[in-house]
Amino acid sequence: MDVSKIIRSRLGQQAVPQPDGHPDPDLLAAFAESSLLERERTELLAHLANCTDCREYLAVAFSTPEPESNKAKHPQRSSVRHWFRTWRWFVTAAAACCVIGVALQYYVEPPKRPADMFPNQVSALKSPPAPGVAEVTLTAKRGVEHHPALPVVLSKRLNTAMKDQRHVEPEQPALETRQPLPSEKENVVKPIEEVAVANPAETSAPSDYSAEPKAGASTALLPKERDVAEKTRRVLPQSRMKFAIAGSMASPPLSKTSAAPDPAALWSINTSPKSLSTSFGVVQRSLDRGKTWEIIPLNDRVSFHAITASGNEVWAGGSRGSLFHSADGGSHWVQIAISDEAAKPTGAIVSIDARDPNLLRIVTSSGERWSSTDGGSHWKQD
Amino acid sequence: MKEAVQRRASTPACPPYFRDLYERSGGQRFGLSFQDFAEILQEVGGRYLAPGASESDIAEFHQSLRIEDLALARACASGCEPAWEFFLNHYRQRLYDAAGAIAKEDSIARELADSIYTDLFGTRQNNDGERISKLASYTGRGSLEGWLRTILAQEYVNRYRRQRRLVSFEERTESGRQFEAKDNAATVSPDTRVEHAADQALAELSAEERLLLASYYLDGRTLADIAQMLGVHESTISRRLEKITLSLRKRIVRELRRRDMSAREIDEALQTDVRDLTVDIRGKLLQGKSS
Repeated sequence: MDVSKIIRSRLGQQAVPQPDGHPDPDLLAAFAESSLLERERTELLAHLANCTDCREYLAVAFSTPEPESNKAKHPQRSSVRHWFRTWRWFVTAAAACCVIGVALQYYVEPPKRPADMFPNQVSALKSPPAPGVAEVTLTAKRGVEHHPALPVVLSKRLNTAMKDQRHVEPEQPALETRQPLPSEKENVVKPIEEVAVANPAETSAPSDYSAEPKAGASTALLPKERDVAEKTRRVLPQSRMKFAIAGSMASPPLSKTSAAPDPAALWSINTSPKSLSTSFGVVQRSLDRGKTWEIIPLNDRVSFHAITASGNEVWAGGSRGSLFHSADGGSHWVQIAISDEAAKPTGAIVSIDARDPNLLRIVTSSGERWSSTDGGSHWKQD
Repeated sequence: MKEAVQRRASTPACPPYFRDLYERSGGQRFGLSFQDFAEILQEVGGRYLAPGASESDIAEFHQSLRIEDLALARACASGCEPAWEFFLNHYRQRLYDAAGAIAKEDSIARELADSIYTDLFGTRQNNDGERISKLASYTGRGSLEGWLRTILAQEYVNRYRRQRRLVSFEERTESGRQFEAKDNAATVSPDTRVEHAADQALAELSAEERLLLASYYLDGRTLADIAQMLGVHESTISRRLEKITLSLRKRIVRELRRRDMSAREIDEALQTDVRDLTVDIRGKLLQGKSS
């Protein structure tokens, strides 16, 4: 059945002369340019539906494309509307793609929110530490921004995201392959600072805090005066602080210290603000229970991943098996050379266990375990 | 001076936005005074607005006018030389280009554009000795260029129709008109119920839908032509036509069922040769033209 023929025949029958006369050229032009008021447009449409003459005028005048030269020189107001009508589906599709892309990005790699993953640790951190607790061992992980306004739903996906993150950094030990030390029972979350400190170039002279590597347990003294250290302290307000899962899954628990000169000192590893993309770890210390943090620039060439403190004894380990020790609460540091007759440790030190004064143990990112029973003078691979 | 004072005194108070419109129009460049401009706006408003239109409707109407084109056209109509110079520089070539696009033949297009240009300039004079310019009828509803295209199209179509009427007897003979079949308008439809149902279904359509159907099925315009005419994409016209046609068929079937026709009868009726229906498209087209 061809309805079109019926339409054609009946419309032809209904084409009657318009008693009200024809619209003037002004109205026809305004109709074609979509600049008529709605009421006028409706009336004109009704007229055009029945008037072959006006349809013909309109078609002859506006069906022929405007010369390109005129279009370029004199764009009409309706060209924007025409463009929108022509491309509106493309614009809609592009907008939809953008929305889907953003949604997928959030789904695949949602913003990290450690506070949602380890609420206990964070709350414990915010509360004042227990008396005598001064030791914090941390393994540097990529700095994670805190997004207080993130939807709660996202926090459910963070555990999955964290598992993925373990495979991202080559120097970080994959938790599945890493054997935690017996003493590693608890994860620790530590507030870390986003400190705008210029990272000294590798060729620059070592700072006062830098420790020169020496054989055995040779020392490089730091400035002894406390006020000098205070001058070099770089502190940011607490409002700029970030939280990171610094201890990862293998950090030793907090332990009590005896005769600590500064029992409120907290130690952490944070991503250097100058190298956020490479997770270059720097050692940080807080003397006011985490309100403010200072960077301790031990060695610019070492990216630190683990730190532990027991009383005045502070141990920090990082890339290329670098281990640093301070026996006076961080004022002076020495670099400990780890090696036995056969080999040296490979990879970065990711965990240090120094709670037992007679047994110092480290784990590297390659899975090696080294221990020392004489405070770091001699080492053997387990 | 006395005339101006009298005219100013007789002019009703102008809405405050008239001053903004006047400044935007650039009429002062062509020596158009604010008083003249306000009179033009009120004249145009009186022509298109309903008598009881609200102030907001009037303001919306005035804001929708192409006031720059309106000021230029009216300044040209009043014989302002700078306005004519501007018109020549900006619109003369467009006029000839549009004529070429409409007529598709250079000689016809040039003749068409020349005649329109003569009308625009005005060769006749009124009782006061002033030229009567066609530009004085421009009201600024659409763009000046669109208006020029429309009057070109009107002139072209009217000329074409006049020429068709003046075809010589020899040409008619050559074209075989002496063997023309007689008008079979008195043919009786096999079933008038189909016609009534189709009329009923067509009457239920909106004006825009009927315009689309008429342009495509009755006038034989292409989808591209209709799209260009209505300022939409060609695919939009195609999609809408398909939708309207399907909807129309459903309505016709529904109407035929309401008239107690069985499904078989409906199928047979809709498969009726359309030539059996009362078809007089040409007659209706000519009827509209002769009126």
